[in-house]
Amino acid sequence: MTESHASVARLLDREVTEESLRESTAQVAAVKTVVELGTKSVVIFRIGAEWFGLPTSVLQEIGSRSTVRTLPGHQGGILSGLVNVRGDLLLCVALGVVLGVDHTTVGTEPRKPDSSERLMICKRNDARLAFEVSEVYGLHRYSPRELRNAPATLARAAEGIYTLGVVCWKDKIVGCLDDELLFYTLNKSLT
Amino acid sequence: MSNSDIDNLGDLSMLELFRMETETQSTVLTEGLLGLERDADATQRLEELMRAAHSLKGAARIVGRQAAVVVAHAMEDCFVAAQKKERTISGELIDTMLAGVDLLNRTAGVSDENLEAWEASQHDEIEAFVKSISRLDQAVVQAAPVDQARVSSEVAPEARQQLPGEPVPEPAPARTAASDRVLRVTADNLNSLLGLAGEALVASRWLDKFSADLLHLKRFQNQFAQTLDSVRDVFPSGAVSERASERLAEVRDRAALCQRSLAERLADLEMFERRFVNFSTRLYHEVLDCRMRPFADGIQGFRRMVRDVGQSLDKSVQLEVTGESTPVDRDILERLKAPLGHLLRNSIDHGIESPADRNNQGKPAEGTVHLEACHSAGMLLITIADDGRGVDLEAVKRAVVRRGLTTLETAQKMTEAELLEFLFLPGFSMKESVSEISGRGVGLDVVQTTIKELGGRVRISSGLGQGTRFQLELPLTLSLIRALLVEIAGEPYAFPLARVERALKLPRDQIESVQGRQHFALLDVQVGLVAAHQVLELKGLPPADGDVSIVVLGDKAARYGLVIDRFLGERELAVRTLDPRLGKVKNISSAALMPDGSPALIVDVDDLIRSIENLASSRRLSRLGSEGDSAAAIKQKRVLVVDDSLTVRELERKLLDTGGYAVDVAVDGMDGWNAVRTGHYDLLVTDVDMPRLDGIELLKLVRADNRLKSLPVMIVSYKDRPEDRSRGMEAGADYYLPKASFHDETLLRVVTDLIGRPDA
Repeated sequence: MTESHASVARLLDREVTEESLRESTAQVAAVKTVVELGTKSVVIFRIGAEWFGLPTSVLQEIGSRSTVRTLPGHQGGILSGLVNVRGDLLLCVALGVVLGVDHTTVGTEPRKPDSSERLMICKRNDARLAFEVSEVYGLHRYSPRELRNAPATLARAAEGIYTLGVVCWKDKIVGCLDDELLFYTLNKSLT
Repeated sequence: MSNSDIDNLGDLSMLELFRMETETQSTVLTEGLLGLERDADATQRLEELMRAAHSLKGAARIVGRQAAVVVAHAMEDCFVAAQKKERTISGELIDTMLAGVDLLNRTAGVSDENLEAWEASQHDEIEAFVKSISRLDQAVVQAAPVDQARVSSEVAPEARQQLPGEPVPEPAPARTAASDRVLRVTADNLNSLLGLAGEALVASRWLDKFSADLLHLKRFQNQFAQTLDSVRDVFPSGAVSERASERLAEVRDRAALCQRSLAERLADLEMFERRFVNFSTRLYHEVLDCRMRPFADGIQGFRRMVRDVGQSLDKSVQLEVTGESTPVDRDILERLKAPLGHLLRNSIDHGIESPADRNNQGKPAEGTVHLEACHSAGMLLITIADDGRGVDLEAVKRAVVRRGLTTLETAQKMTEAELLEFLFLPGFSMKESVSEISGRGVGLDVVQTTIKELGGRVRISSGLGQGTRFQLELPLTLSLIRALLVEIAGEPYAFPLARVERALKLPRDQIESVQGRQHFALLDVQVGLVAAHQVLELKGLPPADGDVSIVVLGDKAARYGLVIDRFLGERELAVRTLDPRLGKVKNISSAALMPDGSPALIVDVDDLIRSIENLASSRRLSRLGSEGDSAAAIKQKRVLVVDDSLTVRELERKLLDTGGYAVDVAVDGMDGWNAVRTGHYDLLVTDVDMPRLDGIELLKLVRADNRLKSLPVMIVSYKDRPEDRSRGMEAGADYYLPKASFHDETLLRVVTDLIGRPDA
């Protein structure tokens, strides 16, 4: 009995090693990563010189730019024309024109396709559309707390109407778009 | 939710499934009953009928359609009794049963909400139906021993089933047409399948280009090997060290290895390409074939209709159908139903004589209408021929002259074909009296219009006393067209070949100019020229040198030459409909994919001809129009009306519209919130109680928005208690109008008070 009491006491009273002390200290001192709930996922893309985010839920796929066929009577508007996406003929929208970022469609002659140019195929409530964009970065999560109001100058421009707010991403300002309003307008103004 | 949203059967409600089942089973019932009337094969028919009635009874029970359960049950009992030879199926009973089938169809059509009321209202009819089935039974057993004998002699072969060792025949697949198993696939699924199959075909063609590129590479390698060989020849033997010549030999070996290896890969690739192209071509055509349905599917109701129409006119008529399995495009089949029905009714009413007349002429008392479908020379031919009295050409001449369409003299000279053409004129009728069946003179012209819309034509031939024959000539499918591909403003456009009169290249000096308009002579007729760019409102100009490429459109009455950039060739194209959100696109009917996968537009030729005509007349008007345009451009004040009641919304819209304001409407708060942010409005008029977002919430959103916070807002509501009013005003409304008072001038007066006159 006394034998075992003594060995328990030895075990509990033993010297803490330098190494385990260091390990525990580091664990306690580490900055806690807080997993935040309610963050939103957006796909970040560029039109001309401006960056935008669209909720990931509406994105179906990202394709490379292919031939866009102009529809007579729709030239120069928000509708660029028809585009073939995996055998489906989709309506292609010049998102830059809708948002008032008109850098992409200057001039009438066909531009040389830039290798970073992409087609974003989006679907919201059964309405499918293809958007022409200059570049797609990828997905990004942000917390609603990060969302700031769009600058007042933007709030008055066409672009401002569709922007819920802006978030910072890699020292760039990204305008987060209101997908419901965007599709609402597009579905109505295609005729 | 609209039908197009339904992706698969799993999304359908039980009621929708029941409706589908009723549709299928009532076809079986109708066909079976009609067959029983004349056909000897009674045993199998009865089995089929019994099963159909039984299935329907079960399905009706699941969805709680008591009326359908009772009706189907009565019919099933009756068939079972007939199978046991306890009763016979008389003509009268068949009539009653057909009425029962109609009753079943009606039951399926009633929505769940109206079911109770409907069943109550139909209670008597259902009762009467069940009674009449059992009553007829008694009467027939006593009064028609002959029938009984007929039926029992027909079912006699049944005894063979007891022979030992003989397999019991499968009951269901009795008829050839029904023996193909049928799957229901939604049109959307089929279309996306067609899209993917087409894409596979396009992808397969890319390989051809790629292997051509590899061939190029092979040639380069050959040249490379030759150059190497020549290197050795340049040096005289002995001038090169042993080591160098070893190295050279090694290089040549390696080059040869590369050549061999490439040749092998190339052969593999070519084999794969052939297989892949073959498979994807077959896949594509197989999917296209899925759009085809047997002709029999489109004419299910016709036997019944012919019988009923004949009976109502006291004529005895039977419909003979050949080519029931002829495949017909489902869209064409659907649209053919009405014209075919019309032609059949027409044949029975105008063609077939009364049984007495027929006897006098030595014809069988029962008239026959023959309906035939077959493929011939890449076209679908449908013939409707009766053995009736035929068209009296003399009577047609009289009718033509009476209507002042031509003189008697000319009419006498006309050929049979020319005279028969008059039957297609709108409002032209040979009948002295108008009957319920036909004779109003509307019909044949509608038939012709429909057939023309489908890209086909109708021909009549007739022999006095021998009958009349209508022949419809139609394309096999609407999903494939042969088209002339041309380039306009650098982009490809397709003209349906059937609508192109002529395509030609003309030296520039053969174009004449008369009064500033360009013409050229085509077979001694002057044809006016129009630039395709201009009609389609495209940028750019047609090429200014070389021969002029012209597509001639139109008909004898008006021909136009459309100047295009160049011809790209003729090709078969799979037609794709345009996105419905576009509405009707001017001058364009549909689209298609080119072999390289890029889209091409298919021209709507009728629309294009109209545009050419408009263009020709508006050139002179364009200068006069400019002043009027600027007057109309004065800015109107815009009002957005948000209300979930259609009546109120329209009333408000009309009142404001009459008052001179531009009005847009939105159907609820959410719709209104979207609209007010994207349009520029001077005033928002909103209801309070609305789904999704109510008027007060909408108002709060507007007031919180930077750009909209000063927008005048007026609330129009049924709620006119003081607390409702103050709630609205607190939220920021500029005016609160009770709905009771807007039918008079109040609404307009308040609007003018708030934002001023419409044009001020």
